[in-house]
Amino acid sequence: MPLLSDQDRKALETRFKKDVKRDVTMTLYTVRNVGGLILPGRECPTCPQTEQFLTEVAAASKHVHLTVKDFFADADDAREHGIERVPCITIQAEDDDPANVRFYGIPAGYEVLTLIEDIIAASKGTSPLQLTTRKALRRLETPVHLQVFVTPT
Amino acid sequence: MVQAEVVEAQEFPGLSQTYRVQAVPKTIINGVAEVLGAVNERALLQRVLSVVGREDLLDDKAGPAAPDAESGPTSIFGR
Repeated sequence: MPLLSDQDRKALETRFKKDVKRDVTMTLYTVRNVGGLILPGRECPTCPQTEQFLTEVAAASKHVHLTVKDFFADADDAREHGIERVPCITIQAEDDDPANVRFYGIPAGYEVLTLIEDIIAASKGTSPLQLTTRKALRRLETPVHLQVFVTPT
Repeated sequence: MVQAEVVEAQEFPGLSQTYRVQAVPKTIINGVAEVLGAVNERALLQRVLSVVGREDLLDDKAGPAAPDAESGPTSIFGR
């Protein structure tokens, strides 16, 4: 059964058609069951649903793509990209560097909208932040790590 | 220089416990400072700059934050 309702899927298609002109790839780091086996310490209850959901999101635009990587099988890749847990979603537009955003956990409730807006921002290649904010951040010389804790609402 | 992460608190109880997340949204900056609730862009910027000791980058001539304090996401689903 699809996770997106018909109504939401249509709204998403319309929004993507309007705002996503450059290709964007979502990368999902997940844990895939090997022949139905779940190894102890490698459980990821929300991984299958996250993959299904992102597949539906990607299907809403020919410019939105999904790449799936296994956190353990592709451990080097995950380490290289600083992925610490699963499920994790990263976003990258065409030839740009990966966007400096990550989603840990299944996007649900309002986080779906955050994900969609991030896909659109990545596609446009412009930050939705105010000019003064961008100016200040551009001059930073120390790394800033923001972790926003949320729950599905 | 800025890396942002959304963390679903219930899925990562260990991490949530580490940062004493009791209400959401809660934003942790460089693992040392916290911002409770949804704040506007300028307030968050101010906090970030203060954590890295660069409050001088905050351009005061820009005036108060735009009235987008309730900068909740606009529904793409039209409801």
